[in-house]
Amino acid sequence: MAKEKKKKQKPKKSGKLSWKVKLFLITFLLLAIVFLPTTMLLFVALLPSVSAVFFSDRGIGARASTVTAMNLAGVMPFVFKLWSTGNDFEASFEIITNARYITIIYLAAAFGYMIDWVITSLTSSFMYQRGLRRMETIKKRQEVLVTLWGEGVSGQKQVEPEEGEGGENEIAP
Amino acid sequence: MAKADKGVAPSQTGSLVPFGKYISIDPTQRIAKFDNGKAKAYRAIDSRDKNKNFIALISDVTLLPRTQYTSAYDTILSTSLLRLAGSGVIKWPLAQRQQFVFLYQGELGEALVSPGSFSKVYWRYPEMVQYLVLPMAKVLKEMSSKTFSHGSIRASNIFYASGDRDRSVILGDCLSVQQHSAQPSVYLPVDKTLAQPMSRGRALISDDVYAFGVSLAMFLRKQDEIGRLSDEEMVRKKIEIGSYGAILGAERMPAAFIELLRGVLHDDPKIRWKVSDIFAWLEGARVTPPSLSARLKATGPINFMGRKYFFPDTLALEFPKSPSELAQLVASGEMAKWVDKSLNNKELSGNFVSAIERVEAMGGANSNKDYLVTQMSMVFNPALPLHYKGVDFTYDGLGSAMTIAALKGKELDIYKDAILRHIPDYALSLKKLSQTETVSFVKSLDKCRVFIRQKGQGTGIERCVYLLCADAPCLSPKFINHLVYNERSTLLTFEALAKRGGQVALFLDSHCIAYFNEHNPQLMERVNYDLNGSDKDMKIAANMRFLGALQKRTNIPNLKAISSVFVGSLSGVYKVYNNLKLRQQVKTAVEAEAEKGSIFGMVAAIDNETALKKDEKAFRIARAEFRMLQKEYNDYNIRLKNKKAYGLKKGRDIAALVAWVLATGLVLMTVIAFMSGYRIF
Repeated sequence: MAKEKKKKQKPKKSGKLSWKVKLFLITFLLLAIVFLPTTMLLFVALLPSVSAVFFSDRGIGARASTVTAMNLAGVMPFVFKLWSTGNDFEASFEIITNARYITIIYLAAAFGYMIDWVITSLTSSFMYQRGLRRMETIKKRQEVLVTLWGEGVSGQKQVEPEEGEGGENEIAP
Repeated sequence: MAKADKGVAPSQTGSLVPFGKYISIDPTQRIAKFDNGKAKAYRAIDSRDKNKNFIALISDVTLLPRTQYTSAYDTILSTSLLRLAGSGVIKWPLAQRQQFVFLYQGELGEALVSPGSFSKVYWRYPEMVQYLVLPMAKVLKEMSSKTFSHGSIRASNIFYASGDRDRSVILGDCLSVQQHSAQPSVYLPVDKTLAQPMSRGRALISDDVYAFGVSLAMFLRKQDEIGRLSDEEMVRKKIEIGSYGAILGAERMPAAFIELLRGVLHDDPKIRWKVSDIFAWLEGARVTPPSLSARLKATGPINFMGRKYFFPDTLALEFPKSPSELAQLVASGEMAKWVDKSLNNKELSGNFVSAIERVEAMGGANSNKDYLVTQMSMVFNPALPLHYKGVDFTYDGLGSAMTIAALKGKELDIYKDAILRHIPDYALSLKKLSQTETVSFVKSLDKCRVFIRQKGQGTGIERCVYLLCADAPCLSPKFINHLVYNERSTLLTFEALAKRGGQVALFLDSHCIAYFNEHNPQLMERVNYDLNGSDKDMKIAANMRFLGALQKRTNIPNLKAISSVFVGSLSGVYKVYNNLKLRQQVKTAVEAEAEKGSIFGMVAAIDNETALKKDEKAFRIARAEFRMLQKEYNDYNIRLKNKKAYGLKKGRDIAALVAWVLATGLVLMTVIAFMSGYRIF
């Protein structure tokens, strides 16, 4: 019952934004308006991050995060430069249109992609090898258990080669 | 007491046969006068003291020696009874098979009366009382107090003391043959005479009193009135004029003994003198001898086999001779008419009607004549033994009759049929015995019917043999030429068979299981379930446990041959231990015990409760661990199949983390540079 109630409540929540989110969006919008030159610079500079967010496969938000981190690191010196030169549209426009600056910013984002590729490949390979080793260890331990307890320990019917098996047909020496 | 069950004594015809450590039996020295029926007497010698006299009674298994009564016999304290010095099994060279020996110590004189002759000693009344009647009364009293009965009291088995006839007489052997089986018919009461010798049932003390009376009469008689009579004529005469009249006839008895003889020879065991009456007579009290009970006589005769009969008790003797005529009489209603009109006895009429109902239930008089004869004989003369399909037996002689039939390799179907048709039960109900006398036997018959219908090991008709005959040896086909009658002889016989080779670890067959279920039920209860199971290893273990328990009880130290048979067959039994190392340790311990010939030690090595519990617990843990590992392995196996995707998520998470750390560092450096006025761009 409780679960059903929760299920019924979920669509109402998703349909309406909470007041905290609303407050954050309003604040963000106001700041973006107040610091419009910076907003303009960031809009252009963070295009790789935006594309990473929108064009990455679903469930790998971590890659977007990596690209965004490096993209932000690349844009921050220019934000400071903008702020030190008056934070006006002209300076912002000058940075945006400077091919060298924008290349540096986008290369930083590309470096993010590279980090994602290299570290993910290394980690994946390491984990795969570790998994194989673990499987090997499990098999060895199971073999030890079988050596100690016989096939019966595996839960399967015990079929053992028997030496000198006796019984009704066995004749004593 | 000497015991000779030390296996089979090596002996040859003509040489001495050792019995125990010091005694030897001489097969060449027969003492025929001490024979008890077919049990032959031989002289035995004590190597420590050649002056000691021993009589060895050699008894074949077919005589059903009373092996279960030796300890009871030992408790009887009487100088008028031979002292039992030992008993056991030997391989008898004259028979080339195992025989039972009863060794008596003492020397006896001549028999009171040799068979077919007359007494040669003419004691006067006081000596006769002093040397014959009083000692016999005393020994009867002693036996009665120990609930033991002799079953072989007869003039030819009562002996003068050695060298001096003016001493108390001594009773001869009674253990080497089944009760009553060696008795001439004159010594038997009417209810036992016509039964086959081995089917006469247990002797009661009243039977011994009767046999004593006949022995006294035989001692006193001077003419042979009954020598030429057949068993049936003897019974007929006893029925017609009573045992006293039949045995003594026109004989002139000393007047002093007439009272005593009338008392002890009365045909009705309830009215017959008891031992106390004999003592009263000896003390001079005037004990009136009971008069003969009036016989039931019909007002008109019935024709049977061309003769006219007025008395139902003598008519009953004729039924087995012409079952067809009996069936005709019954079917035509003539018999019922005679019973109703001429006999006019309510009790007999009632019994007759019930018997006819039973016969009708079996298909009618003409279709089941054997059953009809049995029923009619029981009704018309309940004292007679049962006659069914040509076999005569008393209700309590059924067990020994079955044993003998089985020993001779005959089918037991007749007895099985008799039990299933409740024939002994009906006979018992017509005998007017008290409930205490019959209840245990009726219970035994009920058990028999259950066993006959059962199908497991140790049930069936063979179980009935051991239930109804305490003296029956184990009749297993394995024991041909061996006499197995107790725990000790069982083990020694198995050991001898195992030494010979060709034995399997499943020692206990259906006969052995049935035998021990009757003789040692507590021990069998522990192994019955496993013995009746289908698992071969459980059966082997049960065999070993049982024989181990027997070895412990009998203290036989070395049974190497049996142990070695088991050792070769235990591979499956060790599987009760899960741990293979522990299993090997147990196997080593078992083998060590087998070397010593200790079956009990082998069992103890396997049935170690503490080790078994620990092993089971550890095995459960190991199995759980194995399952868990297998689950993990399967999990890895599935995940690692997609090598490209494996670890990507985690890798990206780590990459994100590295990127953020790096980015944070770069931003901080930028901030510091900016704060310190250094411009990068």
